Amino acid sequence: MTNSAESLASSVKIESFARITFYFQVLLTICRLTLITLDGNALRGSKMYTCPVCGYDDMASPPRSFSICSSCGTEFGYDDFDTTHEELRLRWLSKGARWFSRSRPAPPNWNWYEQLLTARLVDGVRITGTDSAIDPESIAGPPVYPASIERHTTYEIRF
Amino acid sequence: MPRLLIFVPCQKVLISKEDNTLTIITVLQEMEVSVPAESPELPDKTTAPLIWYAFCLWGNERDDPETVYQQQFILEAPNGEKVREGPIAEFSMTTPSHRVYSRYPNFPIWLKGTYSLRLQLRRKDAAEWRDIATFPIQIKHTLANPKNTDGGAAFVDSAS
Repeated sequence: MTNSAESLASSVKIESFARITFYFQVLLTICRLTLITLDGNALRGSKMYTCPVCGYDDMASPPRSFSICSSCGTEFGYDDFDTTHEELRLRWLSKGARWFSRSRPAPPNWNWYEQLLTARLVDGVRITGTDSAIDPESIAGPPVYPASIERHTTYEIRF
Repeated sequence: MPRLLIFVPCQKVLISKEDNTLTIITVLQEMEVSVPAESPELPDKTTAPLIWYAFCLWGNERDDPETVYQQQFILEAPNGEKVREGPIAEFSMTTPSHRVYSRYPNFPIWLKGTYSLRLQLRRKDAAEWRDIATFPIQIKHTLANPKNTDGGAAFVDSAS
């Protein structure tokens, strides 16, 4: 009699522990879902993707499967179905390269050119210069060029 | 007053830790900015992520080693707007020559034309700056279509 009462009490304890664990898990799931709803980052973590059309590097999902870029508005899988990314880029640029999304505002100081530049979608900046090289043969007077080379070599050896 | 020996904007200033010698790499004379033909007007305040230095070398003209000088670099856009100013560097001519350089994280490119890098000097107790030298940097906007990136990676995963 005592043994059966003890085993009954024990099974009740196990059952209530399992119930508590179950409720706790349900609560945890609700919390997670709330976080995901409040901030998409909870779902996607810190992983961001770069738009191959405009170079925007804060896309929440990869540029495929009908995801839409907030910067240029390209819907991947639809807009780029029969149009290349370059053509879409030219189209976006010719329309003034404006920020697309109305629900998601552009980052502060957003600059379409710097965005393209950072993503290496434009050639960027090339440092150049013009010069006039003096041909040592054209210098009037005795040939000082070989002598200066010799002195330079001696100088180098000294070190 | 110290005498200016070298004044130049460049991409790198290398100072040897071994013997303190100086090397200047890639003088900024002209820069070509590739601008999309479809949208040739760059947004206001656009910069290129180009790290560069303004460098100058002062020679000692029997200067009083106690005299403190101040110098500053100023970068002006083609329209005369000051786009970079300072910081003010202080030095005294206690050695035959003295180097001053300043590092900048980007270069303004939104206007085409001649940008002017100016060097100013004054005694620390003086109010007025003296213009010592100006170095012109030509920025050209060349029309070009953006790169063709199709056929490469479908997307760039910036997190990885």
